[in-house]
Amino acid sequence: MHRRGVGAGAIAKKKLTEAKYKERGTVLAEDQLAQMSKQLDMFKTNLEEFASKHKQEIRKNPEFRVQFQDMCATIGVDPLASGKGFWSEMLGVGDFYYELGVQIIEVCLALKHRNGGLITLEELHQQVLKGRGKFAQDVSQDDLIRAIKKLKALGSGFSIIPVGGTYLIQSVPAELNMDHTVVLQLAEKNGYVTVSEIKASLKWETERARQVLEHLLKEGLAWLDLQAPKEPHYWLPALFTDLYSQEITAEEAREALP
Amino acid sequence: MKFDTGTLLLSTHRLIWRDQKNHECCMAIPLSQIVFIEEQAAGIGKSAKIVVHLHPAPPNKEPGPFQSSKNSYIKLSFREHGQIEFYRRLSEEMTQRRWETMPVSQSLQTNRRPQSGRIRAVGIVGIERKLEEKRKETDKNISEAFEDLSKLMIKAKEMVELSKSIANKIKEKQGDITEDETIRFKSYLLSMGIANPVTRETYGSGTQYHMQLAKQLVGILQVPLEERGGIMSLTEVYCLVNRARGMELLSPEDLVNACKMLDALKLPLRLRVFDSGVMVIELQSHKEEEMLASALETVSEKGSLTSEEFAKLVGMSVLLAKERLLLAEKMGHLCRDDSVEGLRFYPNLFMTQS
Repeated sequence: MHRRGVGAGAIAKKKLTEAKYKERGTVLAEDQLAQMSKQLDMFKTNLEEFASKHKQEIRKNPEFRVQFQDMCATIGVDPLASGKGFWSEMLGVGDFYYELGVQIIEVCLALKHRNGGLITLEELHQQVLKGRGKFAQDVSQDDLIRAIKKLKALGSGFSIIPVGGTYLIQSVPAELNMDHTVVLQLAEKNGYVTVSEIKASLKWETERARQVLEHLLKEGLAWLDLQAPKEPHYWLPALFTDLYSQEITAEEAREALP
Repeated sequence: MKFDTGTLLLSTHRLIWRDQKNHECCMAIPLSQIVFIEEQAAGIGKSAKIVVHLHPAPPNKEPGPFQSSKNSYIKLSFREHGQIEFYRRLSEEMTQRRWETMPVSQSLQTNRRPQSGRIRAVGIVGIERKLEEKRKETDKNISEAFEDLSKLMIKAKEMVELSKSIANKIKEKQGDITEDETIRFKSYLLSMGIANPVTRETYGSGTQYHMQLAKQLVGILQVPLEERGGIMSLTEVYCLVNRARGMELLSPEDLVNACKMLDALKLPLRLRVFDSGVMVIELQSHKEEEMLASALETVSEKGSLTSEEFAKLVGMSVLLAKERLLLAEKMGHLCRDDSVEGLRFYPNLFMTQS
């Protein structure tokens, strides 16, 4: 362990060094560290004050949470990096998102056998809300995205794939490159995709399309329907809309009403 | 009659409510009847609500649940959840006003003509003014919070700049900073949520906190690990530890940082990262390489196995089962057959039968 010397000679040497630096107008690292320590204490007090006035706002208002997160990102601060951070401790943002992380992991695990580890943000949202129960605080899709971004650190393959205006959440370490992602985006419209569709929309060769589809099958993300008219359909269970109830077709609506 | 347990549906033309138990009980209101909607946040003993302010009923309105009401609004109470999303979608429909342009395809069309403008009746103007005032006041509360937040962020930004300056000086050795002080610096960064400017990582910057955490983890995980064959994925650990804590939860990065210190602190657990990126915690006494011999035996007995089949036989998670089989393959004990039917592992006869 490196110690600054404490003998008389060492003290004199230190004074000399300091004097030299001060002459040049530079501030030493250890001086700045002392300054930071003081500023940190002050900041903690300011944050406590802020928390006493606005903690509820953060808890109840998802829009405000978004603004808060964006501002933190802009200045280079991650309020969710650690449960020991001031933000987490005093504003309670930490517990909110870390618990959400646990719930997301559990939902993904429970549904993995059905969708291969790929799920739409909508369905995840529905399932998480269900699991949280009626008395729990509401969470928005933005909250889920932020929680998932943090989960990436655990190395179990969480990633977020943009498709047609929403997102697919991957929760297994399956290798998905640009080609795979693009095909997923194409499949989002109908819940399935065919080789001809890929060739028509993306202008790919048959072989390239087939390789991508084979990979999705192998990873358990797609199911093969050989009995479909004209050509095999590759269905993505993650995109089956009847598994979540936010949107229903006109027929279903008509049936539901007298 | 009570209307307190039902399902709310939104179409381009109407809001529809149907009783959950008695499906015969169903009512609808055209979106064109809505003047304004506002949210009411949940509170203690209160559920989140949407208040829907309505135009006065037209004379030819179909009969409804009540003959008359002293209120010109209805309240939708979300006892369970969904208020945020529903409000967002209802607002969208109110903005788009698709009922004005889209034909209604069924005979359930109301007798009310779609309006292109808003009919203002006398009572409505007073209500709208009050709503406007209330909205301004809510805005004021929000803007006060934003103002305070902005001031706070300015101070936080100063801290970020200061930490960058300190890091630069450390790099360029402008002044002497002891190891204790380095540790202190790291803990300041942790408190503020600032990425370590020296190492560029937000994790891997071990502090006192993480060292303590590492020691705590040993206590918490010893028994669960033994119950699970000596190995657990980091995601499992994250859930287990946080569920046990209940509050003051660990962030994913806290957990990873603590685990990275296990080896250095010579604790009986270790962090291991597989080629796939999957991270696990193992008991030091656990030797994954020894497990490979028994894995080979199991696969040989059955001829061949997929990860799922192996997981079920041995009583492991599919994730870890796959990693074990992949490791066995890497070591040359197993080989794979990768087809659209799945990934199947066979004993590697190329090795054993020369």
